[in-house]
Amino acid sequence: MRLPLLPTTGVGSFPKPDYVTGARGVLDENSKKATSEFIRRQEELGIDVPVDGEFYRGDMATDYYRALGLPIADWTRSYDNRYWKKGIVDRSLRRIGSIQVEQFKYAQSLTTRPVKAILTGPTTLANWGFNSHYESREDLVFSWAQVVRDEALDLVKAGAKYLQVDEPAVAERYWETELFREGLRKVTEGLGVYTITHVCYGEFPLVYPNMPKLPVDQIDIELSSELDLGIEKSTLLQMMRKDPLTKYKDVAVGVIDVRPGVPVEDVKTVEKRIRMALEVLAPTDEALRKIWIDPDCGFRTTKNQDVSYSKMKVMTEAVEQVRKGL
Amino acid sequence: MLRLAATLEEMNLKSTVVGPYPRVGSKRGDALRKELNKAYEGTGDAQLVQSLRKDLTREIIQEMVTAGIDLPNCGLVEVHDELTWPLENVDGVQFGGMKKVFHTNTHYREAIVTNRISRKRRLLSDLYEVASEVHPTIKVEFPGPCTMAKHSLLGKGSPYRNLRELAEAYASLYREELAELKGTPLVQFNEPSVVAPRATSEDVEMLSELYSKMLRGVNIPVAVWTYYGKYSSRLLDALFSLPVDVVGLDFVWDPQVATLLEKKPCDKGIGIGLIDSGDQGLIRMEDSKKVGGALSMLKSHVNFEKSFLSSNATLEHLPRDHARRKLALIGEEARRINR
Repeated sequence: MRLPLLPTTGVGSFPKPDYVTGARGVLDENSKKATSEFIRRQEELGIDVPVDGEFYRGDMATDYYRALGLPIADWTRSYDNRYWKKGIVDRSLRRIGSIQVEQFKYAQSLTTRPVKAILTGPTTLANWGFNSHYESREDLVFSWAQVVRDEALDLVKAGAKYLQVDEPAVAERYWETELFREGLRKVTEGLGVYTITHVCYGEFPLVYPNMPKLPVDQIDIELSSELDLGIEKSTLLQMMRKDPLTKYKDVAVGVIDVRPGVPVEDVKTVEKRIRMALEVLAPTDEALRKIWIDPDCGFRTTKNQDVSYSKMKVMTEAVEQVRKGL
Repeated sequence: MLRLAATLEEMNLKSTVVGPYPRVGSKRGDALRKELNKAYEGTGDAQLVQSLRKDLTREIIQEMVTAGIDLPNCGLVEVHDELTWPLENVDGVQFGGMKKVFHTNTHYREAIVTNRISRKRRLLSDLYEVASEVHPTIKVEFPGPCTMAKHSLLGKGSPYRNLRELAEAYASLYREELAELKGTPLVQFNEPSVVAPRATSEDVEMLSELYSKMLRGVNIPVAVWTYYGKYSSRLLDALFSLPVDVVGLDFVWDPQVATLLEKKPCDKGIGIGLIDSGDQGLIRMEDSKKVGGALSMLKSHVNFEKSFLSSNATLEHLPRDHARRKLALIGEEARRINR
């Protein structure tokens, strides 16, 4: 499929409808129904590379621990009254079956557009769980990398053309960029499909200098807050303008704020964000062809389907407006 | 140098805790979580929330006492996050979005300073008195002024122009608070951000002047606790020059600090953060022999009579049952080395 300028895509998750409860990584009838509805709505909105919405997922890290038969610890607090259950690596990691191939195949069966397959990356899996087995961070991250690679290979066999490895944890331990990069390389090397890594929630100026070296075709980065801040006040945008990432990689620019409680943006606001991103990242026509547009992150955090659909609609309308002027 | 509370001074190495203690993992903790969820949805009962917080505080202090902790804190079960909570009691500050600050997947509120700051009420939680009903010596714990300033934003209307001015303003708030604290065995200021990976030389440089101003004439034992980083010789010198009684150090992140301590004799107490809080994702119990061996080595050059054994940071990184086992280990190892 030939993609237009500024292709649109999602990052992964979408708020679950009320009838989807107790998701733990398994595709059941309810999550199938939600996936089907979501794919249809993305097609209506004109999303070029849709995502499956992850309605089957409980947690992007803990589901992998469950899929490997690893124990799950009791609650730990994230902040305020928000808690999560982390898995525990208490033995050598080994995939005992596919984790989300069935989910990908189902979503792809619903559309002729290429569905993006989305995996959680080895650094995030290592950081967002407990370890009582491996002696070193390297052993832990690289063991997870093997698990994720095995899954990636199966997804490619199942027909995935776009494969995203989510690494939201990368900026948490920015001093381990080498380890992150090597873990990612072990996942993506020689897959023969278009590879992406999504990063969010971090101090990106700390990791930006290393992004050109990441072993993926595209880097997907949340940018809406920085774009609202403006080039003069944003260190990250200044770094991007000085050395555009598009010199090295395709870049998916997050232009929709998905944090809970943030109202639906108007089209003009998002248009402005996109134009500023192009000013910084696309100084040439060649660079322009490397830009994709998506939300900052998965929509799950908005906790509201209507708000999320409205935000997606605004995004596609803003992209359409910008495309007209190119 | 001030003396610690008499009951504590009679002991050799003492045991203590750092930061908030895990809430859920007991009936009371789970009930609090559920009631808070209701409160956020607008159907909760504020009185019931406060009552559950008090019950949980009593339960946690009892858990610490049972584990043999000599100097508990109040459990801090009401704090949103451990970096900014005192500012809820301060005029001139608003709270913005959530931000990850450290290597953990923990989110912290960003405090935005919009005006000259002043205390609306005391900063210390009412739960301190609840905890004191259970145990006679409860330490007071606050995020340090430098760390709190580093994770605040100067908003429009802020009269403070930079980090140093804001840190000094926060220190002034604490100075008022300290003047009202009577009979407290120890007041601990947590300053992870002066050693954590993003610490700068400016942070270290401001510490001495900041704490000197804040503590001038203060007649309570004070500790500065640091964690999530490694120590240079210069940083250790700066910490030891502070006008405080105890300096908490993170031996989990930096085991080599033990060697550095040997070269830098110091008459202050040391907070020996030797037990892993799980902040880096490790969830295993330390080998008792190794802990004992490390403490034996420290005994020759650290004044144990003024010092404390603890986890390196908050045990909230762990599920409650693991935290309970860590508490027991801290209590037991402190007792063992004193025998």
